[in-house]
Amino acid sequence: MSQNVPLFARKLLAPFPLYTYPPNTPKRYASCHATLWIYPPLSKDGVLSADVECLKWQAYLALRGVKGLRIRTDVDPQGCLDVRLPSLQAPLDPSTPGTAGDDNLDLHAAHHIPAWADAVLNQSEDALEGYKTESDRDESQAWIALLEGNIHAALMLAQPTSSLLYRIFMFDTTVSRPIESYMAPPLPPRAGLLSLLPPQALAFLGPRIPKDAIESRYRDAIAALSDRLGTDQWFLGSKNPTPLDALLFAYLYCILSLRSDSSIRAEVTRRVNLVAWENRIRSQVIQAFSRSGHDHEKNM
Amino acid sequence: MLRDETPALSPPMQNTANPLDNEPEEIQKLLAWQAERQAKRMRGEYESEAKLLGEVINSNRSTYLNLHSVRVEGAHNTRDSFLGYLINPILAKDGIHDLEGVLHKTREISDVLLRTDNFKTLDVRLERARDPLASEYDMDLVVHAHEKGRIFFKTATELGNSEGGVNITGRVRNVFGGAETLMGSMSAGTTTKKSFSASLSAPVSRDLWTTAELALYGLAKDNSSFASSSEDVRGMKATVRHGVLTKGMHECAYEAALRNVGSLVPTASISIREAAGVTSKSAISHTYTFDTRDAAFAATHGMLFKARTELAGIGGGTRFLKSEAEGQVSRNIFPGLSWSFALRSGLMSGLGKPVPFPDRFQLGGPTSVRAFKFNGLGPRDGVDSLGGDLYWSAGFSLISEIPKLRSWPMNLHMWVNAGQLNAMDASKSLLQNVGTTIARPSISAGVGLIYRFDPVRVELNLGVPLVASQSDNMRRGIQVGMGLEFL
Repeated sequence: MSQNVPLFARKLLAPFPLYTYPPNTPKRYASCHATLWIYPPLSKDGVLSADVECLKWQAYLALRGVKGLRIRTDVDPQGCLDVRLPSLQAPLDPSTPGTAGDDNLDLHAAHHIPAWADAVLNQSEDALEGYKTESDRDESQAWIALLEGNIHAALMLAQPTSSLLYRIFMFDTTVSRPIESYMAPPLPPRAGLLSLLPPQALAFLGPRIPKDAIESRYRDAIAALSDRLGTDQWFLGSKNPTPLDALLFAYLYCILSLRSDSSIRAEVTRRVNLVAWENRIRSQVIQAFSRSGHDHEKNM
Repeated sequence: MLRDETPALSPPMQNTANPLDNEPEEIQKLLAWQAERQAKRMRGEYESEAKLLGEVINSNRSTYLNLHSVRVEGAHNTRDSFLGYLINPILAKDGIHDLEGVLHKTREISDVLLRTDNFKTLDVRLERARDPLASEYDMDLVVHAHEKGRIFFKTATELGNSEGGVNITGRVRNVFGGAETLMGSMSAGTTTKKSFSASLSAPVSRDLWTTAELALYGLAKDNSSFASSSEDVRGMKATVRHGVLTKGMHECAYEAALRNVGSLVPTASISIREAAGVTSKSAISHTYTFDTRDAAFAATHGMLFKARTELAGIGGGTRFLKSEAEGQVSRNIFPGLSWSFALRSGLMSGLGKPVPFPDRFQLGGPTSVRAFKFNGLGPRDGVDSLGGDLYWSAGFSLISEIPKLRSWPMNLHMWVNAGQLNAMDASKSLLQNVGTTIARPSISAGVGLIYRFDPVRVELNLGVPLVASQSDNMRRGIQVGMGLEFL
């Protein structure tokens, strides 16, 4: 009852209700495992998400050695924190995973996953983030920018787009960046009469897709990645897996999952070291995950 | 000796009037008395004229006459083909060719023309037939119609069903000359954040008791007060209606809609997070309504019965079978005091799949089970009402006028409400589920004031929950309700 209600009224109304039943709460699937909410995998029985962002966090957790993780694929991004997948549903007390019931679970946004993993593994934060030296850590930022820039743009280009009818009638539920914004260095501004129009008006014309420029930069980026990886176990020659390895694996897996006649895919398949590396990491990541009860119930 | 001169007048004169019929002396009373006498005389004259006319008609009922043709004048916006579609079957009806038959047909034609809702008034007269080939017994019916305005535009601020809002409504009557109505509206409000609808309706039968309607709609609802989210809906509905409410109206509809549960608040429960996202529905439904109440928002006599069945799963991603029934009876006990009893119930099955959040039943609130918050009954996860598959609610009210304020649109009422909402437990039989729901009602009681703000009813209640579940969202004390229909 509101504190604004006078005291005598609160006392008068306090005995009500005169009789109460137990609470009416839903019976839900009770999981005592940490569960990662992700976009669905490509295959029905798979555990690796088809979305590069979700897969990155799957690989991150698996490569850090977190065990007994579940995946859940039936939750919409709008149901997640920050309105994007993945989210991690985990026991409130991370030091005792596997003992909590469903009511004792907390939800973490993706950017809280490293802190959660630190707590579960009882590890303190590493200033070098697993890289050998400070310069390696700095170099990793350049590779991350390359992967999340030119390679991401090429991956977007290769993926199917939704139809105009679908875009008209469907709700605009996701915040998506235009493909040209991933390009590094950015594309030159529009020229001619179109340059007079504001960007909002140009949005109706659809994204600017400089296909040749994207593919050219992608080819260079893949060649550079292949050369830098060489025959190392981990990228940049690290002793242990780093967040960059998780990101690289996510992109390689998604590119290799494209249609076999895709030129974007062919660029990777011709580099044996990248394919072998992805294959090795994939088996490692798959072992860390299994489907949650929610997904089993849904598939039944 | 007789005086031949008129004596001089020396006012003021003495009142020598002989009071007849108790004429009042005061001027106001005198005017009222005069008006009453005038009305009485005119009523008398009208009654005697009507009686005379009735005698003339009655004595000529069997006079041979034939309705030869009908002329409709003044219906400039109505298609001739549509008028013929309505009138020709009545004209062609076999019947006795006498004055009585002609008058019956005249009434039928007037009724059907007024039912189009295209005309304000109709002046009807019978004339000798103009056709040179017509016999001396053939008559023409001449209908002089005054059409209603075609275009209507309205902006309004409204309160109803626990929300307030502003809206713009536009309507074009008789769009294609066949009693079609095109309507469009846009609104913004507190609970339904924004909405739009556009519809085209047209009669599909000659007697105009059957109409068809095609509607497109969209709305955005703020459900954050009970479900930590918002809901956007876009859809279309095709409906065929037959009948009138007082004799029973059937409505068959097909509806296709996209619903999106999103914009979750940070404290949303896991259950609502699981319900987030887009769902599609493709459903057929049938609704039967029988309503003889004197006023839907505050009935003192009459009854309502409404039954609705909806089957979703004809395409779309949602599958369920939903049935709802509602009844209400109101009776006067004696002048100034009446009682009202209402009962509502609903049952749904997901046909093997979970029913999406937007389709589940919700219960509780000032227009439903009072002394509970809006949608505050039934299964809950944290702060969120999840809705259920099975519900019932009942309400009994005693409604009285306020002594010395009988002309005010206000009433006092005492009420007792009960109801329960549950999710179907798959481990139990249907009968067990129904039994559990009936056996554990949440009950509330209270008193309050009703303000009849036609067509909206506003209530100010003081109520308490008597029996409740620990998870119910209760509202002890004062509760304000605004709505079109109450329990």
